[in-house]
Order: sequence, then structure tokens, then C-alpha cells
Amino acid sequence: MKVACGPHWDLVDPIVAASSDAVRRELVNLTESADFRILALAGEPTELAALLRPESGSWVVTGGSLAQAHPFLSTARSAKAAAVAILTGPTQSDDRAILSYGGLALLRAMPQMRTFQAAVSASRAHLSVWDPGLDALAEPAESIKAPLSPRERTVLQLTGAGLSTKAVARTLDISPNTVKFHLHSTFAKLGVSSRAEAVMEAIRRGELAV
Amino acid sequence: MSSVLTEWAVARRALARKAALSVVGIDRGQGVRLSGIVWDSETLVTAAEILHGADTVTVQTDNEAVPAEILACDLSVDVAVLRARTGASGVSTTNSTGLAAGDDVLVAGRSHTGSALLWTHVEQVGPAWRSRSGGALNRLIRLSPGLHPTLEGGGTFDLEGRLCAMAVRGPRHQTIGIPSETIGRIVSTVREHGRLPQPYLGIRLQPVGLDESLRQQLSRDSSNGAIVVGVEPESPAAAAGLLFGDLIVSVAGQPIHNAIDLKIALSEMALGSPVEVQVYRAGASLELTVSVRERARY
Repeated sequence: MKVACGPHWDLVDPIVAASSDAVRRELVNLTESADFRILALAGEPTELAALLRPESGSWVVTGGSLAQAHPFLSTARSAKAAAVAILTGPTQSDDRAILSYGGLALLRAMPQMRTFQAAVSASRAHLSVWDPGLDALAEPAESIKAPLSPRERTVLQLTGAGLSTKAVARTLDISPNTVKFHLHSTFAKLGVSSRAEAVMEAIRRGELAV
Repeated sequence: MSSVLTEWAVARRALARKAALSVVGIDRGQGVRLSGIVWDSETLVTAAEILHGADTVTVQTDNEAVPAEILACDLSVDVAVLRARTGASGVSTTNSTGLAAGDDVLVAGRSHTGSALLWTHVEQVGPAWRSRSGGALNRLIRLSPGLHPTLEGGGTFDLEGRLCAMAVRGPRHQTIGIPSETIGRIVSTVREHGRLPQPYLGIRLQPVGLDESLRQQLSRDSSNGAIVVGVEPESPAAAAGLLFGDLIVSVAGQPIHNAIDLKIALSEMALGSPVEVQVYRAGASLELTVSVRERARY
């Protein structure tokens, strides 16, 4: 067993796990430049599973896209080991669900050293870390995924023609609250916060005719 | 002791009192109050985005509250036109070309408790621009940031006491001045038609990237194009024979790169007038003539 020294003498050394060579190389550089000594490298989840010993307190650095990192994170989770993932690809807010298990840090690519070190300490203390920088990587407001329903289109088109909520409700013979419901649902789908923006965004996406 | 400073203060107060006479408070329900400008004896203008969707609107003047009818809400330039008999005389306007960065201006409105007046200044004046929602504004006027919500829609007056713009709140605490010329254009259209007609073609467009060879063939400066993904039945576009998959190259000679370009081009067209639409279909350019009209109401 190696004798750890330096500022993180109390930490057991990490295992760097990634299936892609390029990702693994970057993770090694990052981990070493943050003053951690690497215990081992793993290219596959099974390798990682064999290396992890829960009682030793060893922990995992992985990365790439969330899809690439996910198998290694699951392996770390089943071995009750802490893990830090340096993510490059887009994430979605749903992805935060993975944090519920604790001891997992998700960081954006090229984190600052102090951020990385803090994330390591936090995850080893069974805390969850979500880098707010990941929100910026989130996929842009999902166009094709959520087309407007015919009713939403009609409501938005009448709104764009300058009709009030009540006038739209009268025209379509529905209640004003239903109109508001449809409008808010279009706002969410289009990723906007006002009627004017919604009308323009819907035109831009080919949802409304000009 | 009368100094130049007291004279200055007296002149400013006189100007403020005069400006306060040609603005009103506007209640759009649910406690939302904004300001408006008395354009003439029966027409008011205010900010459209806040007013949009309101049903009953009440106008508060110095001594009375009168009901108002919303004639038009142009969200693209944030101008709403209302009909209300306030008895107040119309504001005297001036062309906003006289404004320069650094000029002092007075923003006048009306809060729940009375006149609301703000001396501020012009931060930036720029050329004609298009809002994010595709509206054509005659001039970019940016005032000092941070306008109180009740002053939204308030008149912006120069040192002669003439209205040169309407103050509205933009994104990121910006205060934008909607030039008096832009307001005047919308008011006269609304007067002519009783509302704001929306010229309509009846196509849905989606962005498409053009290959370099096609870009050159069509001699366009950008590789952004707009392709028809829907033609509404019985629309002017359907009558003219526009088809799913047509690339819209230009409308009335103006190049079209996206759906917003088309919306802007249409907004400048007279209803019923024939318009040349150049499309690229099945490897060849094609000219179609469309007669632009209003969308049929429900």
C-alpha cells in the first residue's frame, strides 16, 4: 500500500474509470494536478467493481458524457463508494435524480482545482454535489420533443391576434382558466415567459402560420 | 435671492406640471397600475405587454375614472392603443430625431396616489432597430435603467415639454423609449381600420441551412433559409399555390431568412395588394403572386 502524503494525506487514492482512452487521460491529468495520487485505472465497470473495496474507502473519478459515466457511477453506487464525475455532454434537470443516492459529485468539465477538491471531500462525506455550471450545458428548450397541441396552437394564435383571455375563452367556448392553462403549457414548451415571446417563438418554430 | 438655480427649478416644475396633464393612470385589474399617454381627446397609448390579455381597463385622470376599450395591442413594438373619453387635451409630440445621448428627459405617469414624475436622461440613441419580437422601431432610445412599474407606458418629454417617446421596461432592468414616430404610425393605422390588421399569408416556416452552392445560386449573403412546413387551407398562400417544401427566397424583393423576417415584411404591406413571392422548388426558382389579406376571424 502506498503511503499518501501532501495536502490530502487523509484521503485514500482514487480510481480513475472511463471507457474512452482520451477521457481517461484527461481525468488522470486533472486528478494528478489536484494533488491526488491515482490508485488504479479502470476501463470497464467490471474492472472498477473488482478494484473497489468498500472498507478501504477508495473512491472514483469518472467523466465524459453522462451516458458514458453512468455505468461507472452505478458500479460505485453498488460498492457504496464516493464518486466524482466530470461531465462534458449536455445534461437535463432530470439527471439530478441520480444525486439522491448521496456521495456523488457531478461537475462541469475543466473544474477549478478548489472546486474539484471540495467536491471530493463532499462526496466522501456522503454529500451530493451538483455544479450549477451543468445547468448551462442543459439542452436548449426542447423544440421537436414537445410540439404544441392543436388546442394550444389555436389559443396562441388568437392571443397573437390581440384577443384577451376572456375573448379567447368566448371564441373557443371554454373557460378563461382553461385558456390560461393552455397558455402556461405553451410557455413551458416554448421556454418563454410572456405572451409576446410565446407568439414569436411559435412562429420561429413553425408552430404558427404567418 | 434669485439665482440661475432657482430659475432652473421653477422652469423644471412648470414643465413637470404641464407634462402631468397629458398622462393618465391605467388600471388593468388585479391591482396592476401602469401609465398612459393622452394622444388625443379620445385616444390613449400605453405599453402593450402589460396590458395584453386584460378585459376591462379603467383610466384614472386627475379628477375621474373612466372606462377604456383596448383597440389594439402591438406586442412587437410594445404599443397598445385605447379608446377613452378623458376630456384631456392631446399631447404635443415631436420627432425623436432631436434626442441625443445625455439629454435630460422627464418621464411622466400616474401612480395610485397621483402624478409620478421622474427626471432621467437618455443613455443611448441609435438607428432604427427591430425588437426581439420582430417589431420595427424608428430609433433605439435607451433611458437610464430601472423604471418603476407604474411609470411603464408613461410619456417621455424633452425640455420643451414635447412628447418624444413612451417609456417601457425592457429585459434586464433596461428602460426603452418607444419613439413618438413609431407610436404615431400605429395610432394612424388603428384609426384607419379601427384595429391593427395583421397581414397574413398562411404558411408555417422552419429554419433550414442552405448548401454553399445553393446559397451562391440564389445569391444570398447567409446560409439561413426558411422552408414551408405547412400551408393553411383557404389562405392566400394556398390560393397562390405555395407548397410544402418550398424554400421562401424573398417577398416583395426582401430576402427572407426566417419566419420573423417574413412577419416583418408582411407587416409593412397593404392589405389586398399583390405581392411577389420568390420560392425555390424542386431545383428551380419560381415567382408566385400572393394577395395578402387578414386572417379570417373565428
